[in-house]
This record gives sequence, C-alpha cells and structure tokens, in this order.
Amino acid sequence: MKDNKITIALTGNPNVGKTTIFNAITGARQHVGNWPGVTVEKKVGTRKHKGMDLEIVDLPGTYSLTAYSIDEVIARDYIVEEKPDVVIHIVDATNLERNLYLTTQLMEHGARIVIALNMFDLSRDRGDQIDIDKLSNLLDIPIVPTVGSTGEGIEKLLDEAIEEVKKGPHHHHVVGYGKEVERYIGELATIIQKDERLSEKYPPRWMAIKLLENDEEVLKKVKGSKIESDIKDKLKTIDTDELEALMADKRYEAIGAILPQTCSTCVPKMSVSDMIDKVVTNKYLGIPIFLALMWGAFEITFTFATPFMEIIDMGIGWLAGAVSGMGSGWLPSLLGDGIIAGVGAVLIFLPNILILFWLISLLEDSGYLARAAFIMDKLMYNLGLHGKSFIPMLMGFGCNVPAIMATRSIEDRKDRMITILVNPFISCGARLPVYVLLAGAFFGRAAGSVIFSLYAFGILVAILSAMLFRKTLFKGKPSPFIMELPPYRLPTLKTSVIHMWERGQMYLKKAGTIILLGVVFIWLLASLPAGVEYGSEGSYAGVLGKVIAPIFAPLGFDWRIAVALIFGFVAKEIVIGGLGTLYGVGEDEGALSDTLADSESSGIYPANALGLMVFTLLYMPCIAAVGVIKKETGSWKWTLFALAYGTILAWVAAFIIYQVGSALGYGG
Amino acid sequence: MAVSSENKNKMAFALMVGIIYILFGIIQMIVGLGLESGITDALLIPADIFGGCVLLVIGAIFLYGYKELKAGTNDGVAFIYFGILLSLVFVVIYLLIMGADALCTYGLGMEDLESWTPLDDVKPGLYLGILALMGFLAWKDKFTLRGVSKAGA
Repeated sequence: MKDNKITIALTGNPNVGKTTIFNAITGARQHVGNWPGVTVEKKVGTRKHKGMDLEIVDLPGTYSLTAYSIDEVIARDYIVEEKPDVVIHIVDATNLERNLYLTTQLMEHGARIVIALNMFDLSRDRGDQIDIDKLSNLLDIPIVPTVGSTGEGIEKLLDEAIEEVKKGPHHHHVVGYGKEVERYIGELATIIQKDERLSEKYPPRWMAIKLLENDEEVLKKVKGSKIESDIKDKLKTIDTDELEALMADKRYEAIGAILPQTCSTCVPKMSVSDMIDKVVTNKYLGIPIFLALMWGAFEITFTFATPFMEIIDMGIGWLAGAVSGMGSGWLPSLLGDGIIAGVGAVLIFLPNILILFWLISLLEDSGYLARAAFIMDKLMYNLGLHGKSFIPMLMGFGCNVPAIMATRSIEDRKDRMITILVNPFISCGARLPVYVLLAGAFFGRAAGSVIFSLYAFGILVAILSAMLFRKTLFKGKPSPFIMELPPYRLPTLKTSVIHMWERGQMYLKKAGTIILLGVVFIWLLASLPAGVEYGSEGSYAGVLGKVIAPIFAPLGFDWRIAVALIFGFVAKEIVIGGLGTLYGVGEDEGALSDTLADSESSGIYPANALGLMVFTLLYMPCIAAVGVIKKETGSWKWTLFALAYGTILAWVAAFIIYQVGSALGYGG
Repeated sequence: MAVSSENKNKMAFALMVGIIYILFGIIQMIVGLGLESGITDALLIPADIFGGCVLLVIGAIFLYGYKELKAGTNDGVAFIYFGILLSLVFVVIYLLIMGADALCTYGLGMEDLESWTPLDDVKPGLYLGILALMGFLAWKDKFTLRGVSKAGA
C-alpha cells in the first residue's frame, strides 16, 4: 500500500463471474459471457472506497497456480511477480470443491486473500447451507458472500480487502503433502534460501513445490542463478513424474476435510451431469457410444426422411408432367431436362438435410458434442493432431468453409496447417444428397449404415492424412490442449428447429442460385450445338465428357458421371443436379434413383456406385472451400496441394473399390 | 466393501441385461455376415452388422456398470442408468423408422415397400428395450433433469 493506494487482483477459476464483479466494483462495461475464457488478458479499473484509491486488476481465469496456458501464465505471473496488495479470490459458491483448489495454492504462495463467495444466490436457492464463519475460520481467510450481477456484498468485499491490507504479515495454513514429499520440499527450500535474490522474491516453500511439479516457468526462474546446479542435482534424485498428481490429491484431501464441516450439502455428490460424463467420457466406452449415436442419427436421417422425400418427388413428378404437356422446343427442354431434373434432384434431399442437422443440433445444444471432442482429444493427440482440431472437424459436418475458418483458434502454425489440409475430408452437408441417392439406389435397407460408413471413412482418412503430414511435412509434436466441458443443457425445440431451419434455408438458397445456374449451364452443354440429340455424345457435354472419360474409365464412371463430377467443383450438390440433367429424368415421373438403379442402362453397379460416393467424399473441395483454404494458408502452394492430394486420393480409393468390387461380382 | 441391497438388484439387472444384449449383438453381427438360420429368423434378428455393434455397446455399458458396482465403486450406477437410457434412445429410433415405413406403405403406397409389414421392422434393439423399460420404471425417480438448464436460456 502506497499513499492510500491499494492494488487488488481479482482471480478465480474460469466462468465464476470475475468480470461481473470487476464491472460491479469499477462501473466498467466489460463484455461478460456465460462461457470460460471471456477474460483473455488482464484488465485494470479504478475505484475510490472509504478514502482509499483502489486499482482493480481483473485477471484471466485459472484453475491453479501451475500455469499451463497463456491465460494462466498471465494470471499467475501477475500474482507472483507484481505482488498485488490483496488478492480477491472469486469462488463459485455452487462448486466449492473445485474452486477451493486454487485457494490452497494461493495460500501456499502466501498472498493476502479475501474470498468472494460469488453466485451465492444460486447456492442459496438450491438449498446449500454454507457455514461461512466456520469456513472462514478453518481457512483463516475473510469470506464475503456476493452476487456479482446485483452488486450484493460488493461494498463489504471492498471493506474486507482494505482491512486485510492493513493487517500485518500473515502466515497461512498450508497443505501437508506427506512425509516423503515434505522432505523433498524442505531440502529444495533450503537450497533456494541460499539464493537471496530468489528467496526474497518468491516464497521458498512455494517455489520448491512448483519445482517438484515440474513447472517450466519456475524452472526458468532458477536457470542462471547460483543455485541452478544444486537444484538440478537434487531434482535428478527425485522421481517427479507422479508427484504432481499426488500433490493435487493431497490438496483435494485437505478440501475434503474442510467441506463436510462447513457445508453438509456441498459434499460432492454425483450430479446428473457427472453421471453422464462418467459414462460418455469413459476411456473404453466413450468412442463406441459416440459412434453408436452417430449411426443412429444416420439411420433416422435416411429412413425417417423417406416418406417426405417421396412427397417432394411426387410434386416434382407432377411439375415434370405439366412441363412435358407443353410440347417440344427449347423452353420445355430447359424447364424439364434442365431445371426440374437438376434442381428437383437436389431439392428432394431437403428432408435428409433438415433431419440430420436437427439431430446434430440436439447433440450440440445438449453439450454432448463437446464431450465427443474431449474423448477424441487423446486419440487425436497420439495421432499427431491437436485436440482443438476436432472442433473444426465437427463443424465440417455442416460446411467446410466456416470449419476451416474456425482453425484460427489453433495457435501453433503446424497444428493449424494440418487441420486445414485434412478438413475437406470431413463430409459436409452438400455431399449428403449424393450418398443418400446412391446408397438408397444400390444398398437398400443398408443405406443408413453405408452413409454412416462414409462419414466414418472421411474421419479416418483425415486422421491418417494428419499422421502422414505430421511425420513428413509438419514435423513436431502437437501442443497440449486444456478444455473445459460446458454444462449439459436440455435442448429446446425452438433452438434446435432454428438451427435446422438455418441449414435448410442455406440449402434452398443454394438450390435456387448456384445449383440452378450450374444445371442450366450443364443443360446448355447437353443441348448444343443446335440440332444435336439432347445429352448425346455429340453434344458439347458429350464431347467434354469423352475428353475426360479415359481418366475416369478405370473407376467405372462413364462420361456423364465425369461431367457431373467436374461441375461438382462449383458445389457438390451439382453432382446430383448434373446426373439428373444428363440422365434426363425430368421427362418422366421416375426418380433419378430408379433411373440409376437400372444398372443395365445407367452402367452403374454397387461397386462403382460406392466408388462414386467415396470419390465425391474425397476429391477436391468445392470452390468456396478452396477460396478459404487459400485465404487461411495464405499460400497457393498449399491450396494446390490440398486440391491435388484429395483428388489423387479419391481416384486411388475409387479405383480400388471398383476393381475389388468387380472382382467380387458387384461391378456388372 | 459391502454392497447395499438396492445396488445388489442393480448388479443383477446389469449382469442379466448386459449378457443378453451382448449375445444378441454377436448373433446379429454373425447374421450380418450371411450366416442365417431358422432360429435367427424366429428371433427376428436382421442381417445388420452395425445394429449388432450398437447392441454390443449397450451390453458393454451394462457389464461395465456391473463390474464397477462389484468392485464397490458406486459410480457403477451411472453406467446402468446410461445403459437404460441408450437402449430406450434406440427403441425410439427403431419406432420412428417403423412409423416412416408404415407411412410409406399405407399412406403413400410406395412400390418398394408394398409387401412391408410392421413385423419387418421388429428387431432385438426394439424388443430388448422392454428390459430397459423395466429398469427405467423400477428406478424412474433417479432419471431426473434437476440441475440441467434449458439450452439457449
């Protein structure tokens, strides 16, 4: 304290209301969010209180004083290096056990502490009975119940903070770590005390504990000091690998001894959320449960949508019938062969899109998808991918464009590049109609399982490619990822329908714009030069198809499929629209599915149908995705690499499927 | 560690249901590989490898719960409750599929499904759900959403 000026640091776990308290104290209007990580750097505000000038520093959320992420380093360094006059530790009253873990570490550091028992209203409303006086006595720390959102308790909190500063030197209770660890702590502390510069700046016991926890930042502080070699020699004699976990257990044991005496209802009891997490994040069952749920989602997507697809198909058939009554000429052909056949073939899959994205929004809104990312993190880390990569990969199920943009949250360039390059292998919504059409036509009741397998295959290719890139192009280890799981929430019909409709609207908009233009262009190619038979080999589409057909012939694709795939570069749905236009299904009421399923005339059999689905999954991403890859990598070299790598992989995979399938008798 | 009588009931339930699900899962996968017989037809087991995998997953969850409770870890009940919920989720999925097929057949008269009867969509994932339903009814007071807020609220 200098000249009536007091520096107060606000610290606490993420999402406990630090910024709300900061705003309540200083009158600031900092952004407050209901998710962890709103405060990513420290913020400073001022306040006059009872004649004192208070400087309030809002620190990023941290779970402990062992810093892992940059936010935690900022918070820890401020408390340790800047030594504020008092630290207000904001504790979530509804989650005392986890929050008091940081308290034990602040006590260890010797900081002057006042606890703000925040969200006290929530704790009170759910019937918690916290004996604040007893908790305060046991911890030997002043505790003030607060409600940040209403300002309740803020004045008293500031009174207590000023009182705490006025007190003389203070010695906190500390956690005992057991005989053996205490011996290590004592020996290291004795060495640290030999260096006056270090021991004056940092409490030796605290520093010894951090050294035993392999805290890299503290190891750096020792580097270059006169005791560096002594410390290193001592640490070599201690097996520190298991110590961090052991010491964390001891801290929780200490908390466990205090809590039952002060709050009978706060003794940890498994909540619904804890129970679900026990199961869905289980190391053996977590991934199988995720796969089972995704398979269920694809089964519903395919089967439950069938009657709705049939109704749309009837409408399109009726329109086609009405157009065929207009006689011959270019206009009925444009409407029937081009627009109705092409756009209609795409529109028919609207129910699948709506159902799949409704189900995904249910999983997302409930908080389950965050758990899916959590269970995949360890697997992905072992395979060379950053844990944060799974979020963009999940977003890729919707559309690869925002998914690739979401990789911006990955700090390490190598991690980010790998995630960008493999994201196009995650099956976006635009590819779903291709799968539904071909799987329905050639795999009957197993269509749902085939579609699920294609999504799973896309993830597998992405993971294997990431491993390959990590070992060749972007050598190194992925950086660690700490993730907090959001609470489970009950999805509401309103929000999930809004999410579903956003997807559906996007799909309809695309069908009315880019897909419409695409199929009209293909219709023109199939109709010109004038006088040529529509869609024949003599049309421009036929000529183009014949030029590129040799490349696709080993895959069992004829020239019509080749043309549809080429135009699929604009948008993947155009593959369907193109097939609809080139197979001329607009003229009769038969669905494109029936036309293709007639293998004798279409030339498509289960082997090349599966090959076509896999080719569509893997080959070059659509033009919008290519644009965003260029923007995010800032390199044409990597953009072209993504195009070439995906297309070559697609060709090889489709070739193997067709050749093996044919050998087994599924290729016609 | 002594096991409470309530947990003993849960253990017996988890062991029985877990084994049944695993057994049916294995048979369904074998049928999926093309090895059918009169018995599998009589039990309405379809040739569906993925559906068989789902039964295996559900069975494994129940057996894991049994193992945890047997080891004296009360967390095992979480696995049993979740196993019940997951079984019921798949019952709902199969009922939705049956409803869609019924609509296609009786409502829209689709040619592909003209010979379809509701029995075609009856499978172990559906009828074994009766066991899960019994568990749900026995411990329904444990399936509470207290403390879970609404999304977007």
